[in-house]
Amino acid sequence: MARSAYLGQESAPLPAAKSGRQLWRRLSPYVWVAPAIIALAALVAYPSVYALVLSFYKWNLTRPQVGRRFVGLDNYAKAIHDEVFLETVRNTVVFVVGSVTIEFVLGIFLALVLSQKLPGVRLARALIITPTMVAPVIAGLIGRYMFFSGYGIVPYLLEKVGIVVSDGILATPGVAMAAVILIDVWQWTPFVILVVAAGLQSLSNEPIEAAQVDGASSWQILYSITLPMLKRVLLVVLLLRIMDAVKTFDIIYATTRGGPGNTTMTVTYFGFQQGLNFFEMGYAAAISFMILISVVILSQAFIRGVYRGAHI
Amino acid sequence: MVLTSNSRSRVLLTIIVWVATLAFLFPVIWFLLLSLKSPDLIFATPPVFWFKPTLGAYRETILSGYSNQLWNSLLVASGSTAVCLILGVPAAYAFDRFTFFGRKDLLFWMLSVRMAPPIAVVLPFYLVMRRLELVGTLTALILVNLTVNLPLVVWLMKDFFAEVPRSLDESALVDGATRLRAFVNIIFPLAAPGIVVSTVFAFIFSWNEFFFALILSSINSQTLTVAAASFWTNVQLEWHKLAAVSMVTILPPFLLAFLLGRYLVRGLTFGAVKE
Repeated sequence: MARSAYLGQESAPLPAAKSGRQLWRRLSPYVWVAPAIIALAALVAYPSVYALVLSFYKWNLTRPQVGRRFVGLDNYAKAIHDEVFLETVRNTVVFVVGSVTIEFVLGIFLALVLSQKLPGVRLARALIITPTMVAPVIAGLIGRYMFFSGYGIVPYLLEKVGIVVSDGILATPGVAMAAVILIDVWQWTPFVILVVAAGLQSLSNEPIEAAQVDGASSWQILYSITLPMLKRVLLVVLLLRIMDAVKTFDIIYATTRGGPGNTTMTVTYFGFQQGLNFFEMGYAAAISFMILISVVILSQAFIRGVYRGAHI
Repeated sequence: MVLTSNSRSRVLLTIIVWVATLAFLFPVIWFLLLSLKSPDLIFATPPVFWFKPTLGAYRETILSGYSNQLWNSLLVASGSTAVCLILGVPAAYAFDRFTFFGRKDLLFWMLSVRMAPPIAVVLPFYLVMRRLELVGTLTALILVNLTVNLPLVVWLMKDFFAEVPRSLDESALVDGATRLRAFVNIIFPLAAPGIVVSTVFAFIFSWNEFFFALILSSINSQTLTVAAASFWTNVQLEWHKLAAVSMVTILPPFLLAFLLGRYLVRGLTFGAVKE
């Protein structure tokens, strides 16, 4: 182990001081990391445990006279049979799969194009990241203005080509979901472009050139050489995008607030609504705990995949 | 990889580049124009592209009632960034330089905290802050932003420290310096680019944060993102003012991202992908 060999040089070979020094050498790393770990644990671990406990209670903040009542797994049972909750789960899946798929396909395609030596391509790469830097809630507000029926530019242009969404884009079931997905795609495709372009830049050209000499088509090279070589980069992008998309809230809040009906309501929005609009703390805690568990399982699987064999 | 060397296809690719760039920029430009319009133009159909710009919306928001929100956003973002750096940088150094039991698990745990859904944190956090009577204070916002940014700073800095040769700490230690002194005097200055990148990203993420701020702020501690969204509930939607507040919110992250240049990708991926 190169690391421990190196650390060994720190200690002076004096026998009397040795055991004390050795103990310190084993403990000192924890002293360095403790402030960060303790702060994070206090901010996250404690609330998660609190949420778990809370999820076994019925507790409505608007009725303090009733107080908390232990109900066991009732909140979880309620969630499983709650049609609205199940609908928000389906919506979240549609939102995540829809937006991330489009971002991926479009992002990889544009990353390839933006990696070519073309006039002005450097400037384009610098400018194209703009949407990703916009606060997500503002991305939502921009979308809301552009989709607004009556004076929004999108319905105006659609009307020009003969498409009329009579109830308004953000008020028609199905169409509203497409619109919020489009906002997410607008915001995050540039991120995919930038990261994949960086990955492309770091690839060695030899296998690609060898394949070209052997007469492989661009399409074959892309599919069987470039993309496999980019596997880790693509996995990182996928991880970050899925994790972010699962917890989408800002865009929904800024555009549809989950409507029309509940057709664009994500699980996070549902948890927010139960907890901070209806003040059903126990139920909201159960919902958020279920979200937490699924996200942690998902992210752990991904993280282990991304960093498998990597030196960290 | 080179897609094509055919000159006609290259013209086509150039067109694709610029159409895509303009498509991604257009919504922001459209909002910028909106913020410069007078109230009678914002509901105009067909939409107006050419008009005499006015700074009225900025005068009536940021320069008057909304200067407080601007100040709050600045305080929350810089306060939370400062705490992240103080806690995160030494930890990152130890994660890179030492081997110790639980090292990998702690690192992965931090990453999963960054990925965790904020809804799971915010409800109990809200209840705790209510009991401590901290709901509606900037302190609550600074603290809750750590959950997102502290893991980011640790992962980013660990990656930057890895690029500083270990022989430098080694020779300092041989010369009789303590580990702390070697870190402060030698390694820390050499990791300066990493500090800048971490600062910028922690700042941007706190600045853009909306969910926690919506739930934990009061009218006095409202940040810009919440202020922008609160126009929603007004009876008469004052889109031009909303756009002005939004443009002021967008500008700092945009400028900072531009300054980061080649470090942008590294920051956005927690050091997992480098340019």
